[in-house]
Amino acid sequence: MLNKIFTRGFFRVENLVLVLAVSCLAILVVLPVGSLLLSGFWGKSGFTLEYFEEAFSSRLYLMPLLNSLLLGAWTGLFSVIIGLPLAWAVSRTNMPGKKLVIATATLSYLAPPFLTAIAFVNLFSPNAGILNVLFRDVLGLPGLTFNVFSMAGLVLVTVLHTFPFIFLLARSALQSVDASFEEAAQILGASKLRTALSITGPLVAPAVLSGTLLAFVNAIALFGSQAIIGLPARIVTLPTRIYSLFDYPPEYGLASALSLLFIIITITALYLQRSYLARRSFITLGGKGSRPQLIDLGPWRWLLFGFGVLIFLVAIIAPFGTLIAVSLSDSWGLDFWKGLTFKHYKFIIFDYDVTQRAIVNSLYLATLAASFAILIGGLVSWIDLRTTLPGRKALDYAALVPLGLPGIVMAVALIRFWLQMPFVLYGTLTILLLAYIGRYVPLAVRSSNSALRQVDPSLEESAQILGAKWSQVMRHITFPLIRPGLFAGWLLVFVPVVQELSASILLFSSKTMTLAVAVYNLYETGYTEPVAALAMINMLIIGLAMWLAYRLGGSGLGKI
Amino acid sequence: MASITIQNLSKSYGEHSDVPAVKNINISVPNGTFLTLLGPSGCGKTTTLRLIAGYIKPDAGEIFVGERQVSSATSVVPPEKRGMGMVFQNYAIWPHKTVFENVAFGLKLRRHSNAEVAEKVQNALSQVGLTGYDKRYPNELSGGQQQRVALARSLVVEPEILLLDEPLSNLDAKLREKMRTELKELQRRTGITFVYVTHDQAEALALSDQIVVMQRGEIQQIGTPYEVYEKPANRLVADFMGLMNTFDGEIEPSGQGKAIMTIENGVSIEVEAPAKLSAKVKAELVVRPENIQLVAAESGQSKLKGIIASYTFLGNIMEIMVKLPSGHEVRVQSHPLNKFQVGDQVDLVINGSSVSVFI
Repeated sequence: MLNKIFTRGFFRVENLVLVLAVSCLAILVVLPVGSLLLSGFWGKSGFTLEYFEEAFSSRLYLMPLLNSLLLGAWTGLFSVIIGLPLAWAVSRTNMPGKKLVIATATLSYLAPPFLTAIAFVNLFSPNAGILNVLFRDVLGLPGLTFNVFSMAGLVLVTVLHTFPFIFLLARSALQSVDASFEEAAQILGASKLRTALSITGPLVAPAVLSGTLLAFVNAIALFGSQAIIGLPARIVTLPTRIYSLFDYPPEYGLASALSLLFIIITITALYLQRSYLARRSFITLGGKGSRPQLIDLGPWRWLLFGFGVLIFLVAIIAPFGTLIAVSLSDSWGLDFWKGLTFKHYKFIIFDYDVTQRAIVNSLYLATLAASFAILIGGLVSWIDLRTTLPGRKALDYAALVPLGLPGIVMAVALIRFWLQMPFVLYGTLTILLLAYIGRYVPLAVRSSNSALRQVDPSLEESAQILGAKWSQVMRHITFPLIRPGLFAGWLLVFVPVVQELSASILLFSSKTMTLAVAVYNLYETGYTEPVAALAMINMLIIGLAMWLAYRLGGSGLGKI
Repeated sequence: MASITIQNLSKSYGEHSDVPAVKNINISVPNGTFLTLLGPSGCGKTTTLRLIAGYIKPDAGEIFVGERQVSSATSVVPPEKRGMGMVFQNYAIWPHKTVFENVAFGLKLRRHSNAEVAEKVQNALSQVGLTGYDKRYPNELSGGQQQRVALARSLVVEPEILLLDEPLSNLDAKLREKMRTELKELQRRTGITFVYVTHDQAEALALSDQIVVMQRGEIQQIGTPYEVYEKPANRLVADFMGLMNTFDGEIEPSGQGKAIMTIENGVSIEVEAPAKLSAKVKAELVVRPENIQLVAAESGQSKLKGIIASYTFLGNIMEIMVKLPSGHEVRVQSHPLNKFQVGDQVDLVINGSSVSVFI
């Protein structure tokens, strides 16, 4: 009797949670993507392939496709060139300044790429960029000038954001390869080079490839830098082309078709990445294992150190230093230091009426989005790890799908879906909230999953056997144990939402202005110095959130 | 020649430079010997092995292979130029290579022709009983099979010296015993010089020609298994080589290389005189449980009397705890057919030739 009641009650809770999680995912992901499919294949007179035919027959759409692939490929390549040597140097050699390199990689990953792009425009725009002015007009060295409005410039700005993927993954792989694998090759007579090529290389290759694919996927999805640097260079990419299709009159069918193409590319890359990730399993095979001895590079370590410092200068000092300098200068130019002033901050905070609204909106949206995402993440991982419900793995996978949805595609999908509804969602904070939760729910699922995985079920079972009800088990045992992990996941969503541009750019209205959109719009109107001031305020908010995350000890940045 | 000579070898690790990992070690390993470095974890045995392999550089001292100096504080021949083989505790079978590729790796480095490689690999695999497994990946093998791949991989290049770092410690008891026999057989057949590291004294006794007992980074004793077991050089070795009973007492020389050891209850035992014994001093007598004989109290064979406190049947032996009048408990192992009851009065007979005395 008692047993029956217990089972029934337990089953009810399970069902409730399942229904809740499934409907959340349906509203956030499944329905919008479904409507994207519908509008890509459904014209005025029923089923049609006309949008895809047009996409594949016009240079207008083929060039962006090609440019996106090119950008992704170059970015992937240079991410390896930067990330792999640094990862090796940090994990295996006696290079000095390892902490600097690690901090550089972490900060580069977190810095919003559109702000980096704006900073580099201030340095390297063909006419007014101050380094170009310095080289050409002052030093008389026109050969050293660099036009940032080019594919090279776009790759440079993007790589600074994506090389950390390879750095972080390769570093953890290199650290987890058991030293005895290499020692065994050595004692058989293999030189250091041979050991690196035939033993270490193949063992860490899956991690490097996986990082490269992640770099590729992330690179092609960034709207901000592609608009800021690509458009003046006449390099149109998929996100910027989709964006332009929303100019009046909006071409929803084509936008949907291009979005679907975009999804196919990213999902393919992510699928490859997942299957490589699965092969990583053999890296931990060594068990207890000893750490490899650090290689003494002799004087060469200074060369690697120099490389690390160079990346630090280019990825951190150049963009942030520039933005700070621009925001404080009366008018940006070679002699900017002559008239330092806070007037742009004053203007931005007190006189520009958009700023305060944007800050409030962004903080409000980020708080709500992070809370909802972590709630959904908790539900999904609880179902996955603690129940035997059929389809729980599918649910877990569905929650990861948004990883393959670039922000702008998410925006197109939401617009397509909610415009057909009888009530107005477009132009409200709600549609932005839905976009943010949908985009970042995978991060929340990932972190709550790993938090819950670390709680042995026997801890819950032992409370149960003492007579605790499900709700009591949750409140007294499970939740306190996973709270730090959940909080880390919360911040992992909060930080990117504050700087989200790719989806917001299609979804905002003047009332629902967000910080990133405000920066972008201000940049578009040509206010160089106030943009920098607003960018610094944006960075300050992100920095505060990260500092909080760091203080609370749960920066789960390696778990992407 | 593949003898190894280690002279005054010392090594300490960075942060703990005041506590040396190994201190002033001298060992000479004749060609074709099975030598075991034995000791508890942290005793410096693995450090010694890794110094021999050349993975680490000594702070002081030298290592010679034959006449050739391979390690000194100033120069170290790298592992890949030493022509040794090594079997690791975790086997270190490369997970991305098949069994064949694992075993063939060393041969390919030595630029053997493909046909030769194939033949030698097949030979090596059949030697360790893995014929037909060549296309498998390590994750498709059991622990014992991985261990054999590791052996085949080291042996196929015909090294003159094979280093083994606790190679049997990850195997289950039955397999461990089987592999132990095979290793010994292999060493006899190939005549390779084996340097073997273990913390398992039974393994060391069963396998070795020579045992080096190490503790706290120093060598405590070098000897044959028999010497190390029966004539431990000091308390540390005695403790490590098995369960011991200790009696405190006094010893005084009685002439002709003999001495009289007096323990509790005025019981005296004639023993071999320890070196440098000239007058009556305090001493410790240690005796193994199996070297104490229990006889019925009435027989009057010994003045050392006690009461059976408890006994445990262990299958091949009976382990009995005997309480002496002083309250001291003595562990005795006897044949299970000797039936005693708890509370029985017994006499304990200790033969002076099977004890060790430490001053």
